[in-house]
Amino acid sequence: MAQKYERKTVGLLFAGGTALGPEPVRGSIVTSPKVVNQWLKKVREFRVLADVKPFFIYGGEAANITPEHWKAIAETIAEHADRFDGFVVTHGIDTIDTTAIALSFALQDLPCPVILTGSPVPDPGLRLQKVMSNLFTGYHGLGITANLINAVQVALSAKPGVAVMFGNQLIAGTQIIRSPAGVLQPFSSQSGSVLGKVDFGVRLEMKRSGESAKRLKPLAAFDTNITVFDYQPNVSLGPIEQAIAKRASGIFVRTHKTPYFPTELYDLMRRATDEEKIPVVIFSEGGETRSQEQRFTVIAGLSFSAAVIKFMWVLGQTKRKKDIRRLLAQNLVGEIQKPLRQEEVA
Amino acid sequence: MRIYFFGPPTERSDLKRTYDTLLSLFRRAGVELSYQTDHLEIGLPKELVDRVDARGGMLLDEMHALILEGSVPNQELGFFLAHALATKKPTLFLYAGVREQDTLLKYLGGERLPSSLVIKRYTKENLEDVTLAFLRSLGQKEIREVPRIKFTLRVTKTIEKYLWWKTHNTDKTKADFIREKLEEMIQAEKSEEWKRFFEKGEEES
Repeated sequence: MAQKYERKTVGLLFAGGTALGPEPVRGSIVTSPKVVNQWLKKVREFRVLADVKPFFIYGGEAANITPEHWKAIAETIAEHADRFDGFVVTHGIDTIDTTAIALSFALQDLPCPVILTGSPVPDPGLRLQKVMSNLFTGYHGLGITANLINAVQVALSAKPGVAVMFGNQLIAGTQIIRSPAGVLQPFSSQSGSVLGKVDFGVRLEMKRSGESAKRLKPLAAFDTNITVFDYQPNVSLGPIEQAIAKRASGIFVRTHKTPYFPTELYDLMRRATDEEKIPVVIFSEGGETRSQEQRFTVIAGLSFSAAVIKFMWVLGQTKRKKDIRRLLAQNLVGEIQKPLRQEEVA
Repeated sequence: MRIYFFGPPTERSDLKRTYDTLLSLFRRAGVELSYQTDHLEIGLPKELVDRVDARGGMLLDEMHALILEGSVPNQELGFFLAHALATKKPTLFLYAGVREQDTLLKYLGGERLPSSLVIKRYTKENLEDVTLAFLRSLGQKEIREVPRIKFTLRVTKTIEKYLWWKTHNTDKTKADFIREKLEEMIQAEKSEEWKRFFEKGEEES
């Protein structure tokens, strides 16, 4: 049976990534609130799809996006979640993946979709414009307009949650990763499956059903005072020693193989947890979650970016050791493809 | 020439007849057709579909023109219209029985629409004419003349048997077979008399 058509509304948040073309024509990129209306006039096609209400968050380079911007986006969405059918967030594609992951944790129990997208064309005047232009030469035919139209359509019809719409793929916020070399599309899904594809129209794995409106409370605190240490045999352990000395909120150790470490590193990590009460998380890229002992939390089955951001988010929510371990072990927003076995968590 | 036709899923018998009429017309006109009504028919070579998918593109971008049945506003219809406006892709927006102002286009607030967008109200009687005129306006040579003149032909039993024998295990109808034979004869006719007669007829029409 044909759906009854009802005019819908979308909240459009500007957080960069708005270049309509490679040349810095006035009104073709949103760098401040003053340019928003001029920019919207250039992409009037939205009005056929839905009524659009703009919110300006940020207009600079994606590399300079911080947790403060994540918080601003999350709080804006939470404040207006009951007024809109969905939200679209424009974002520079340089760091759109990390923002998508962060928003997935910050906006749990969403009543509607939050879809991030951006221009494949780097913002004119960027320091790295020439490099970025070369990287995305193949995408000039797509343009932000096509991405925006697709994102608005998805925001009106997908199930609630955070996702990235780019090219012809809709990827869950917690699953998005940079594509390996040789793959034409810049982003892929960690799990290998996507939420939707665009061929002619938008084909979604799961469409929205009639969810009831919930009061959305953003959980947008992220503790960035962590040290991320990429363990390789025989590298200097200076970063761990510094993390202990400056009392980092947490230490994140990335290992590519099994989480068994040399004695010197193990002793440092034990000192951090037992004496300095600094939580230590071991991220096992190889998926192996057995540990020398239970004092360290070992996580696997999610992307590196998702693991780091999750750790920052957990530390932003609590400093209690038991709660930190519990939250890290839980599959909160679909970020873990292979959840930890219960016996692996103390 | 690649055409994408979209008609929203519907229970209305008049719209279903419209879809059937248009799909039949597209096939007779010889266009490469992709369409979605109650289901999606991609209608494109697999190699092309895979190539477009690998680079993150949309199949919609591979179409030369779009034809949309917009009598009843529909979210997907808005999606295709938005892409058509953004890319200035030749698009025929058909509607029946409602005023133009009541369609999705009203949300553009009376702004000047690109010439690539053709908006046409149609009736059962003029639907094929309106659509054919749009297809011809695209300037593509692949558009075949569409047979529209009804012609009653009495044949002998032998001819009937022969026609059945030539077509019974094919997807051609007997009428298709006869039309093809006549087309071949017309193509083979090189006389000046025929040329003069034909051109005179074209001028008068």
